[in-house]
Amino acid sequence: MPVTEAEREPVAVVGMAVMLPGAPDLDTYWHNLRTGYDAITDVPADRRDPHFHAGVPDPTATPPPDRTYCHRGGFLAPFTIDAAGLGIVPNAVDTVEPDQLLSLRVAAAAVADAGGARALGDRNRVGVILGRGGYIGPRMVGLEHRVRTVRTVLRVLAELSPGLGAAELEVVRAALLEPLGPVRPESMINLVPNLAASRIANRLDLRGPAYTVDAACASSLLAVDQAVGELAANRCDAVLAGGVYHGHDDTFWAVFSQLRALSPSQRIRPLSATADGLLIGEGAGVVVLRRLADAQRDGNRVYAVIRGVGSASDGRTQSLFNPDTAGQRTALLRAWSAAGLDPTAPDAVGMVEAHSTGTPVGDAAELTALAEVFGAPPGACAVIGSVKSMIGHTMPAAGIAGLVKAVLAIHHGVLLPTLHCADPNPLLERTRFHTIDTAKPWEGVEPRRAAVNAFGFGGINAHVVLEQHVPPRRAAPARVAGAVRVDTSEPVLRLAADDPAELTRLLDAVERGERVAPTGGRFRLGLVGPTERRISLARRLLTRAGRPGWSWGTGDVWFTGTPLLREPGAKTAFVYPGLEAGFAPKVDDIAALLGETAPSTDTATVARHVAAVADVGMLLHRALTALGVRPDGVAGHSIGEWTAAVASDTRAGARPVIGLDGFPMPEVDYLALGCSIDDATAGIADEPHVVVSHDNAPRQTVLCGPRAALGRLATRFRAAGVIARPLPFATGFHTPMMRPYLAPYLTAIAEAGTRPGALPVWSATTVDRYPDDPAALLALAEDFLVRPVRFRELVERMYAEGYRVFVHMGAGQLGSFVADTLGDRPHLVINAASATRPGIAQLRRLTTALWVHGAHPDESVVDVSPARSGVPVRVSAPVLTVAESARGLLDRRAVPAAPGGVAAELSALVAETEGAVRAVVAATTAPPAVAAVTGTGTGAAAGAGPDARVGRTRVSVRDMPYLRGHRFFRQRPDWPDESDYRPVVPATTLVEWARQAAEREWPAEVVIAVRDIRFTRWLVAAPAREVEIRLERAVAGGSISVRIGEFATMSVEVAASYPRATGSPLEPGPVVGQVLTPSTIYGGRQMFHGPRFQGLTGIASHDGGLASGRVTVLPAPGAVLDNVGQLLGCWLQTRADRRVLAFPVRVAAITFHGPPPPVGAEVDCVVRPRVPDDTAVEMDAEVRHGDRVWARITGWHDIRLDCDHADHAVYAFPRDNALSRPLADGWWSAQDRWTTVASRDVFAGVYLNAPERAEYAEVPPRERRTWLLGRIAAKDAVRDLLPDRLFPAQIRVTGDGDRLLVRGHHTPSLPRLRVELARGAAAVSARVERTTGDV
Amino acid sequence: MSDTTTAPDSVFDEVVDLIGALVGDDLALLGVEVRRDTAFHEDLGLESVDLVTLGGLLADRYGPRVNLAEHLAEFELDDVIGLTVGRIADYVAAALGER
Repeated sequence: MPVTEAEREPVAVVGMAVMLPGAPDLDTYWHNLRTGYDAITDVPADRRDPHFHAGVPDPTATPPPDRTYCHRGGFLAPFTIDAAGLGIVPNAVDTVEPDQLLSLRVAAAAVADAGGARALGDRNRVGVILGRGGYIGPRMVGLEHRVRTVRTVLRVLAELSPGLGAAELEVVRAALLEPLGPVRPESMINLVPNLAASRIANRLDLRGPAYTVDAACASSLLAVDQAVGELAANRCDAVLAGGVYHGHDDTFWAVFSQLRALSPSQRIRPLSATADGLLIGEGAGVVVLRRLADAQRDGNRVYAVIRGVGSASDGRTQSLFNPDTAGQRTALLRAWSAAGLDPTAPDAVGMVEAHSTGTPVGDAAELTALAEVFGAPPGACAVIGSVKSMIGHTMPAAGIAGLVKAVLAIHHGVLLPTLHCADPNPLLERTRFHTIDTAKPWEGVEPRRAAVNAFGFGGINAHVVLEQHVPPRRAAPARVAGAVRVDTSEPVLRLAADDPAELTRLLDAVERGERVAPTGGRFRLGLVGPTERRISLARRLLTRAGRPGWSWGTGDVWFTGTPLLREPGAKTAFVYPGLEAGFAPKVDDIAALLGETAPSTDTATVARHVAAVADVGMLLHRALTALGVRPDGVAGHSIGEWTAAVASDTRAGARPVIGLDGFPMPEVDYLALGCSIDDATAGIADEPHVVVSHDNAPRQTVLCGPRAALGRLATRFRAAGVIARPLPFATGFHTPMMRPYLAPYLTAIAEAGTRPGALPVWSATTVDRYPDDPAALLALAEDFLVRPVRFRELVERMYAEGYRVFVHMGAGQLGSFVADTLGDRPHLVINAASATRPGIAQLRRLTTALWVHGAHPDESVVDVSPARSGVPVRVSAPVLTVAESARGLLDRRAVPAAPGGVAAELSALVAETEGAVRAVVAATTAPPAVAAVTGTGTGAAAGAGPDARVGRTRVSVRDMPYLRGHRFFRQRPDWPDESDYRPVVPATTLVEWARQAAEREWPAEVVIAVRDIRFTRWLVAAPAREVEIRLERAVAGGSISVRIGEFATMSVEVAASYPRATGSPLEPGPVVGQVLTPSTIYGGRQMFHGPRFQGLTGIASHDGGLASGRVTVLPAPGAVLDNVGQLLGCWLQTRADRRVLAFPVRVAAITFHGPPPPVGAEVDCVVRPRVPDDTAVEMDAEVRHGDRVWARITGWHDIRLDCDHADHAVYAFPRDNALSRPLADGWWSAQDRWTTVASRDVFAGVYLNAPERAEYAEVPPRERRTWLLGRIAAKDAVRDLLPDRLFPAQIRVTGDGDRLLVRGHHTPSLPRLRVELARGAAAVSARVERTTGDV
Repeated sequence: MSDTTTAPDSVFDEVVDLIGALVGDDLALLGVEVRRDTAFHEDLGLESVDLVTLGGLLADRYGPRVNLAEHLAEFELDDVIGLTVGRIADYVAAALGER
C-alpha cells in the first residue's frame, strides 16, 4: 500500500556536510553564506587547457566546439582524502574518479556530524541516494586516451605519412602510453559511475539501498525525494541523501558554451535584471535524514524538518531546453500539498532558495511560477536568494547546496544574502519575494519555514518545504545533544600572562584579530572553540581572576592563576573506569587517528562490557602517550584497576582476565545509593546478605546482595529520601559472595604473571600502592575480588600523596566521584573521552585543560587537518603527450631548434600542469646534449643560423664559487659530497647571465628589459655540467630570445640607452609590525642562503600591503634580484602557515632604468606581494639606487611547496629536527604530507644522500612515496637512538621490504643497525630492531 | 501525575533559587539563564551525585512530601541524564498538590 504524500511523516535533517567552492566544510560554508563570500575564480591553471581557453574573437558569437568564451567558475580547492581512515589504499586514490572520493569524504563528514554511524541505528536499514550526472570524469578521460585516442593518433599519422613503418608506429604508441603509467586492470572498477553512492555504502558499511539518480540539475532534490519516500515507507531508518558534481571537463563546458548558457560577462547574477548566463561550479553535499520521531527518540540533533517534497516533469512542451512554468508550478504545489500547508498564506514561507542560475529565460520562468504558487498577498514578505551567486551552478549538486543553505538559515535563524543583485529582476515585483545583500536575523514568525527549488534540463522539477524544528517541551537532550559540534578543526585559544590585567589585554588583542603567542605566565586561560559565548564567559571569569587560588573548568573554558602542576610535587593520575550504566564513549576517531580498529562498545554481556571498558581505556592510554601526557601513577575503579595494571605493565599479557567469558559469578545485584558509606551501612544492619561493595564518593555508595533484599532496601532508602538505583549489570565482584568462584580468575592472573610495574598502581582495596612482591600481588588480586572498593578513601590518599590532576580514562561518572570527594580543594578532573562529542574534540579539551594547569602536551597528534592525514586527490585529466624519449621522433627535416616553436609551446603547456612543477624541481642529472663547442663564459660561437649565437659554460661550484651561497640543503661541516648540498644556480643569476651575454654579443646596446621569463628546471651545479646559452635575434634590432639549456627561457630587449622609469613609484606607507633583521632572515634560516647571497639587511611591512627591504649589493651575479625574491619568501613565511617554501617559476617582466648598482652599494626595494591562492605567491617590485629607480619587476610568480612551519624547521635545521614523530615503543612514524611531487622531492633532498637518491630515482614512481617515508622514518628512528645528533644524509639505509640495514655514510662512528618497517596507509613507521642483549 | 502538572511560576522560581544554591555563583559566570528546558547535566554541568544534594535541599525546603528519591525511581537512566529544571519544578508542584 503506497503512502500518499499527505500521510508522510516529517523527516528530520540530523547531519550535514558539504565541500563546495570556497568551503571545504560545513562551518566554512555557513560563514561564507552569512558574509556573502564570492568563491568564483578563474579556471585553475592545472585544469585549464590553453587551447580550449585560448579565447574567441567574438564572445557574443557561438564559438567552435573546441573553444569556450568563458574562463571563470566555482572550483574546489585541492583536497585530500583520509585514505587510512576510510580504508582506501593510498596508491589507488589516483585511479578513482574524484567525484567518488569527494562524495565519500562528504558522506563520512555528514555521518560524523550526525553523531557517528551508531547514531543512525541499524546499518542494515541505512540507505545512500546521491544525485549524480553521467558526465565524464578525469579518470575516464585517461581510459579514453588508452582505448581510443592513441590508436586514432596512430591511424592519422599513418594516413599523413604512409612511409612510416610498423616499428616506428609502435615506438610512438609506446611513447604515448608511457606517460599514462602502467595499466591496472583491477582499478577499472573505480571508473564505474554508480560507485559515487556504492563506495559510501561499502566504506561506511551501510546496507540499505545505495544508488545514484540523474535528473540533471534537479538530481539532488530528487535524491532527497527518494530518501523521504524510503523513510516514509519504512524501508530505511536513515538515508544519506545529496548530490555531487565534479569534473569541469571541457566537453561539459563545450555543451554549455554551445548552448550559450555561460555568462559572456563571466559573472553569475541570479535574480538580477542584468543576468546574462551562468557560471559552472562543483562540489558535493550530503544530508543525513531520519524520521522525526526516531530522531527525537534517539536524541539526535535536528537541524530542520522536511515537511514536503514534490516533483514533476514538464510533459510535452516546446523544448527540452527551455524551462516550463507549468511543470515547475506542479512540483511546488505537490510539495506544499504533501506538507499539508497553504502556500498562499501570508506567513507560509520566510525564504525561498531559488534554482535561479542567472539565465534570463530560466529566471523568468521560475519567478513566474513562484508568483503563481505563492501569490503576493498583502503583508506577505519573504526573502529569495540563490547560492549560485557565490559558488556557481553546481549542477547535480545544486539542489543540495541550496537545501543545506536553507537548513542552515532555519537552524541559525538568519536570512542570507545573494551577491551581484543590486538591480533585481523586475519580475520579482509580482511576487512576495525580495533579495537582500547582507545577512539579517530571521525574526518574528515561528516556525521558520523555507522552500528550495531545483529544476533540470529536460523539464524535471523538484521542490522541498523545510521547517524549523521546535522541540516538544519535554524533549530530553540525550546522547547526541544539540550543543555538540563535530568540528575537526576547532581552534583552541591559549593565553598566558603574569597578571590578570595582562590576560584581559591579550584577550582584547585576540578579539581584534591579532596573533598572540602563548608565553609562560602563571595566569592561564584556555578556550576550545572560541565562540562568542565562550569568549564572553572568559571575560566574566577574568573579572574574578585576581581572587587567590581561584580556578575554573566548565563550559570548555579553563582558567587558573595557580597552575596545579607548577606546584612542587604535584602529580598526575590516570584513573580507569569500571563498569557503569550508559557506557557510550566516542572514540572511533581516536582509533582511526592512531591507525587502530575502533574498540567495541558492546555491553550485552558482562564479559563484553569488561572488555569494551578496558579496550577503550587502553586506547585512551595510547592516545595520551602519543600526546606526551604521562601519569605519575594510575588507579582504577573496580575492574578499571585491571586496566590500570595492564597500562602500567604491572600485569603482563595483553589483557589478562579481561573478556572473561564464561567465568562464574554469584547471583547477586548491585544497588547504587545517593548517600555516604556510614548512612548506607547503618541502613542495611538488618539485611544479613547485603554488603557494601563500593564506597565511591561522599554522596555515592553501592550495595550488593540478593535481588529481593535490595528491592526492600531500595524502597526503604527512598522513603528516607535517599536516591536508590539498581545497576544494570551483576558480577558480585568486591564482595564475599565471590569467594566460591575465585579459582579461574586467579589462575588466569597467575598464568599471565604479575611484576612490579614502571608506574605506581594505587589499589582501592588496600588504599595503598601495589606491593612489589609477586606473591603479595597475587594475594591482592584475590582480595580485590572479595573486598569492597574503597575509591573515596583512595582519592583522599592519593591527594595526600600529591596527586592534583586526575585524568579520567573514560566518559562516564567516575570523574564526578573524584570531584565529590575532593570538594573545594585545588584539583583538576578531566575526562579523556566524552559520550557526546567526538574523541578528538575531547582530547583537545583535555590538552587545553592540562596546558592551563602547567603541562606541556604535544598537540600535533590531535592536529587532524586533512592536509596532514590525507592523500591528495588529483582532479586534472591526463594530457596526451609523448614521453620525452620520443619527442621529435618522426621529424625528418633538419629544423634548427627554435625557441618559440613547437617545443617551447609544449613546454609552456606542460609548465601549467602539475607535471611541470615536478620538472621545475626535479634535479636533472644529464647535461644538455649539444655538440662540443666549448668556451668559458658565453663567448660567441658559430650558431645554428645566421641570427643565433651559441655559447657554452661550465657550471660547477668550483667554477662559480658563489654558488656555495645558494645550496638548498644543510649538511655536516666538511661534508665531502657537494651534490648532497644541492647547489643550484639562482633564477636571477640565469637572468643576469642572459643580460650579460646579450650585452656582450651586441655591445652597442644595453639591456632594458627581460620579459616572459620561465624557469623550467633547476640548474643544479653538482656534479659539474656544461650548459648551452643560445641567443637568437629574429629581426635585426628586435628582441633577443634567450634559452639557457633546458632550464630557462626569456626574451631580452636591448636599446641604445636606458629609458627613464615612468609612472608612479611604489610608495610604502608607515611601517607596521616588527622589522626583520638578518639574524632572523638568515640566522633563523627563513632563507637558506649562504653569505654570498645574504644581501638583505632589513625587511619591514607597511600599511597598504607593501613590504620593503634594504639590500647590500653583493658581487654574485643576480644577487640583488635574488634578494628581492628572498624578501617575498620572508614575507610569505610571516603570513602563511602552510606551503611556506616558495621558488620562482616565472616572471612577466623586469625592466632596467639604469646600469647595475655597484658592488657594495645599498639599494632599496619595495614590493607589492599578493597571494593568489594556496599554491602561489606573486609580487611586483621596484628597486631603487639612491633616488633613481634601477629596476622594476612585474608578475614575479613563485610556486609554494607543501611545508608548514614545523616541516620548515626540518628543512632549515635537519640535524636537530625530524619529520617523523615518535610513537610508543621506539617506533617513529613518517606521515605522508605532500600534495605534489615537487614538495616531496624537496624533503627527499633533505633526507637522502647521493647513493640513496640514485636508488630513489630507480624506484617506480608509484612506490616512491612509501619508499621515501620508510627511509625518513628509519633515519629518524636511528637518529633518536644515537647520542650524537646526525644529519639525515650521514645515515645510509639499504635494503627492500620491511627489514632495512643502516650504516654510517661518511660517518664511521655509526654502528650497523637493523630497522623494521610497518607500512600504514598514509604513513610508514620504523623502529630499530632490538636484538638479544640490547634491551 | 507529574507529567500533566505544570508548575506555577512561584514553585518554578523557588526551584530555580534552590538550583542556584546548588550551582553557586558559577551560574552567573556561565551566563546561563535557568529556564524550564535548562538541562541539569548538559547546561548546568551537574552530575548524578549532585541530585543527592538537590534532593536534600528540596526536602529541607518542602518537607518529606517532596521526595526526589521516590520520584527518580520511576525514571530511566537517560531521563535522569536529561533531567530539566522544568521537570523538577513540575514534580514539586504535583507533590505539593498545587496547580
